[in-house]
Amino acid sequence: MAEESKTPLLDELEKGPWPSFVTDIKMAAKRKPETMDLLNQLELSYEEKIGHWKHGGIVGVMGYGGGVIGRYSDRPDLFPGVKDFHTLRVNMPTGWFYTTKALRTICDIWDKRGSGMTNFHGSTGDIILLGTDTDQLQPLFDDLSEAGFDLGGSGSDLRTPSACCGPARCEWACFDNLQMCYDMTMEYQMELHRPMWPYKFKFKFSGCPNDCVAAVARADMSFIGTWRDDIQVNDDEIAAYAEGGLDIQADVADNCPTKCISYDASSKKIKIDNSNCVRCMHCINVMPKALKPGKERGCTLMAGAKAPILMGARLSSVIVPFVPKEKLEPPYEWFKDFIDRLWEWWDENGKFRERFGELLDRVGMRVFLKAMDMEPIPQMIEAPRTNPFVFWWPEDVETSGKEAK
Amino acid sequence: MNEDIKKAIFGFYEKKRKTKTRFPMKDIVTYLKDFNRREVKTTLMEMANAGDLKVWSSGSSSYYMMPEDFEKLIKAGAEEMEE
Repeated sequence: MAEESKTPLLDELEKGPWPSFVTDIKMAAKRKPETMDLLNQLELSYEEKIGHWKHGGIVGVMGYGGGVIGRYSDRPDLFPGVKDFHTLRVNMPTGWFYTTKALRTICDIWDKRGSGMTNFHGSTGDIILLGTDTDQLQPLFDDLSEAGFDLGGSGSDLRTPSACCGPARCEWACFDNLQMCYDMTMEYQMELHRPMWPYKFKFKFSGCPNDCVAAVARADMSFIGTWRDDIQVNDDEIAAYAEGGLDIQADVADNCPTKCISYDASSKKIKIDNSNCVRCMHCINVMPKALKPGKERGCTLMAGAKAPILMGARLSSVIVPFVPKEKLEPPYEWFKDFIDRLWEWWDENGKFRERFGELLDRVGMRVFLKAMDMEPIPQMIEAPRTNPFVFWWPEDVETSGKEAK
Repeated sequence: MNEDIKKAIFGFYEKKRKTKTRFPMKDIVTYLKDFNRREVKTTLMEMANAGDLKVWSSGSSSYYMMPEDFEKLIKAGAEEMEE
C-alpha cells in the first residue's frame, strides 16, 4: 500500500501540464532526503497561512560582511532538515558566460556542501545556492574560492554588478560593457564584500538601448549604450524587407514613438529624422539587416533606479547624456572619481535604508548636481522611460498581419 | 587600526546597548562626529574583520553588534527587525 503523502496541498501543484517546483524538490530529496523538510514546512505554512522562516544573522565567511543570507526554520523540532538553510550568493561571470566545466564544478561543489538546489540566477544576477548549514559555509566558500569563484554582495553594500552579453555576442553593443562591468567589480571588491553604506547600491551595464540587463529600471547607476549620430541605413536591405512581405509602414514607421521615420512604398526607402530619434530600438530590432546603431557610439550614464518597496518603482534619470566610447575603456579614472564623490554624498546625506534614487527625490536633483559640481543641462532627462510596465489595449496592437519572410 | 576610534566605538556600545543591540554603520558614524567619517568606517570594518564586532544582516541591510549580543541573537533565532 502506497505511503500516504505528507503534503496533500502541495501535491495539487504537481497537477497540470506545466513544470512544478514541488516535483523538482521531491527529485532533489531522493539524493538529499533532508530537503523534503522544505516541502513539509511549506505544507504547514499552507495549512496555517503563516511563514515558518526566520532570516538574518549570518552574513558571510571569514573577512566578509556579506554574501550569505542566514535562514532558519522556526520549527526545527518538526523540520530538522531545514533547521539552518542559508543562502549563498556567488558572483557570476560577467555576461553570464560559462563553460560546461565551470557549471559542473559549481554543481559538484554544491552537491557536496548543500541541498543541491539553485537559482540561476537571482534578481541581481548572482548564482544563488539555496540551503546549507552554518558549519558548511566556510568549507563551501573555500571550495568555491579554489575553483575561482567569489561571493556576491548582500546587505548595505555594492551588489554584484551585471552586464548583458555585449560585444561578445551582440552586434548592437555600443561600448565594451563587459570589460567595464568586470573592471568595476574588481576595483570595488571592498565595497562589495564589506557593508558601509545607508543601503544597497547596484551597477548595471547594457550594451545598447534595448537595455537587456534592465539597467534603467533596477540600477542605482545605469550604463546604457547609445550613439550620437545617425542610424545607419542599408537601402538594399530595406527594399529586401519590403519585398519579403514586411509592412514597413505599419510595423516600423507607424510604431516609431516620435514618428521620425517616413517610408516611401514606391521607392522602398525610409527617411529618419535622427534629431527626433529617442533610441527606442524598435526599427533596428525589426529590421536588423537594414538598420544599425550609428557609428559615433558611447553610453548614457543614468542614476537613481530602484524597484518598488518604498514609494513605488523609480527609473533612472540621465546624469551624463553621452560618454564617448573612447572614455569607456580602462582605467575609467573619470568614472571612479565621479562614483567616489557620489557615494560620499549619498553616505553623508542618505538616511538608513534610503536608496540613492530616493535621496534624489527627497532633496532634489539640483542639490545633487551642485554637490557634484555639475551644471544642469536640458539633456538630463528625469524619466526617459516613465513606466516600467506597459499595458496595451488589444485594439492598439493590431498589425497588418504580414510578417517578413 | 585607530585605537582612539576603537575605544570610542566601544564607548558607543556601552552607552547605547541598554536599549538596543544592533546599529547601522550610519548611527555609529553620526555619534562619533568628532572623528573623520572615513576613519570611523574603516575602523568599524577592521573591527568586524578582527572579530571585535559582528555584522548582522537580513540580506537587505547590515548592522554592527557586539559579539556577545550577536551570539545571543543567533541562539535565540531572532527574526529580521528593520527599523
